[in-house]
Amino acid sequence: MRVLMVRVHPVRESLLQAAGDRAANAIARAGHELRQLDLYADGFEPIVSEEEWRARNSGARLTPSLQFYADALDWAEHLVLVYPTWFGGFPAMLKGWLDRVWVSGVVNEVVVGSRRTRSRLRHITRLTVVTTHGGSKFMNSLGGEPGRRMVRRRIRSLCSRRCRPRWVALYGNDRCAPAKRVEFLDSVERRFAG
Amino acid sequence: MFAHPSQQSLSATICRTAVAALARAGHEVNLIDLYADKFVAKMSRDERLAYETDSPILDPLVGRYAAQLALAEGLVFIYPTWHGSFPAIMKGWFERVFVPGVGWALDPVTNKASGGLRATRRVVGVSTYGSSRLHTMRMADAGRRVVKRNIRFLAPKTTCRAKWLGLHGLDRPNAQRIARFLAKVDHAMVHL
Repeated sequence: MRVLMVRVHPVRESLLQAAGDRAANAIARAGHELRQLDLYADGFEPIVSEEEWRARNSGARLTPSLQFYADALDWAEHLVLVYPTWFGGFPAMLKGWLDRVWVSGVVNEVVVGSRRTRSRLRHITRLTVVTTHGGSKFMNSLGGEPGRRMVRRRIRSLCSRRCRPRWVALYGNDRCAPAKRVEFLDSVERRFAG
Repeated sequence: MFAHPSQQSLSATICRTAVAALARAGHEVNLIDLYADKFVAKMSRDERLAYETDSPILDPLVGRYAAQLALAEGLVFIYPTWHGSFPAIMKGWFERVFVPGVGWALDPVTNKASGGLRATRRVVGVSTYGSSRLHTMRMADAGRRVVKRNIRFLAPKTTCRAKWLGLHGLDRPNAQRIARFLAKVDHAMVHL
């Protein structure tokens, strides 16, 4: 399987990046093809500029310098998102990646002879999220988990109809015992083995 | 708080309407235009490392926003909904400004967190959507949730109310509906 892993964390030695490493190792060991994007390492700019917004309004599609990311999405069969949950959802960096790369022409296209659109990401049959939450499961459910909903509904609706998002999350990372973090890393590895 | 790359956009018109209405009703208005301020959306490595220390604010611009937040009695967020949520620049604003000590504070004795928006009595979100209301609901409307819950939770006043105004279906714009919506925004701001 062709696996695309998108990592988003500014600190390379963070728990989340370690989880990404464990996942990458497990994916490679299981014999899958792996491509990794690290948005912070790439120096990705998450803000849609005024020129970009104008160009898109007048019918332009993807900004040419971002074609690389669109190609990666075209290639992938399994999308893995590795990000910390900040303020209930995606970090600005990952949200900006959606804003700028997941545009019309990349993730969907207009059906000829109709006003309907059709997804271009139906080849993605698997979707896995690895994330850490600072707060407890209870506090997060009070907040309604907007990030989780965004993946379960918005992103999933563009993927293959058979795709069921899988979730590996650590809650209460702000004040949890080190053993729980070790267990989280192990569960990430188990999830990607085989 | 306003976030849109273009001053010619509908979001900018909504923002001007809201500011004028607030001023007319005699409120003191402090407009933060994130694009005009050239705000940096991504939290940097140094900021992430400073987050857990006693001085999490490194950027003077963020410090200025934090000081304005502490005094604000009403918070109004105006932005276009992209992919079901905030534009990255506004999401980044929450991440970088609502740090410990600003967004919330830990009580040193009980070790419990409490909201940091002590002065805030009103939270209002105003947003535009390309898709229909039904489709937005199906896609879970993450931005609305963050404003009505996560932000609202940071205001400890029990009388604080959160309100949401959404204009849907702009993929097929309709001048009459837009005019009606602007009137609604005006009314909401006058009767804040």
